[in-house]
Amino acid sequence: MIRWPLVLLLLASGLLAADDPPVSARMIDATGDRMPDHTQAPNYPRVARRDRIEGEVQVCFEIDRKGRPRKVAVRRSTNRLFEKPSIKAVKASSFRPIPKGEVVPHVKSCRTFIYSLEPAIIED
Amino acid sequence: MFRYVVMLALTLVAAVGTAEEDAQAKTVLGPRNIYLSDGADALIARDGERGVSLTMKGLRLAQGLREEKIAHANLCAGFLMLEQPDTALEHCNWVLENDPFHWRTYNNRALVYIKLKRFEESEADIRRGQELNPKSENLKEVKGILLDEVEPVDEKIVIDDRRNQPQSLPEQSE
Repeated sequence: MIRWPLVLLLLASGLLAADDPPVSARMIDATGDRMPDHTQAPNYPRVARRDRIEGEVQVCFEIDRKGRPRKVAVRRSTNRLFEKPSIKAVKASSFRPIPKGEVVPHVKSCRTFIYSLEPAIIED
Repeated sequence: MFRYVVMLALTLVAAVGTAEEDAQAKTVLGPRNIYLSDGADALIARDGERGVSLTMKGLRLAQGLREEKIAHANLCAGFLMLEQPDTALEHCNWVLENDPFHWRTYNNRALVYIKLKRFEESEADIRRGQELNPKSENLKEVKGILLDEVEPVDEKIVIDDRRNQPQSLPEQSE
């Protein structure tokens, strides 16, 4: 007897045109105890985009003297899909360092990422 | 000009025809239809030309409905790879006329319909496929492709620091 195992394949193919989607990232405010030096925008999770999922994540963290985020943690989130890219973005961001001799403010900063999908404008 | 991602998710029925041990004699049997098997391998390797050619030969030698169904299902995928959606559609239709529960073919025919800009039929096939296999990631991919065609979106991410809620932390010594 012949066995016919079924194998499920996921193939990425060029049959249909594929391009990177445009991602718009906007910083609403940069005021806080520590001034941002470099703000990294997260990537929109592919599966979330595919399934048309929007969401919001708030990530809280401390900032060390050199301006590096520390103890990065999700405070609240509407969908776990967005948590990893948000944490990654915060960890890749930096703030202005505090010069030696000045006191490092020991406050927790929080950053909210709002992921949304808007109807695309297709131009011919 | 805004452009959007389109990905393709094809499912193949891998006609591996792997050797199966005879439980009594421990004899290893070879594949019954080597062309179907090799054709499936070629399609998996995304060699549409070779895959279709071998699968056509396999179809001519097919024994029984099961092998024919595998051949037509893979020809549907293969002709879609070769950008011949009309021919692909004929093979998908053959499968579904003989097996209306073959979710993989609904998946592939939905892709064919997208290629043919027959979006409502594509949506119906995705729905039917998801009824048969609700957890299929492939069907979700196809649905995403369809949505990108009919309702394209742009991603927007707002980074909002206004909601800072600073909390006093215990003094830390450096």
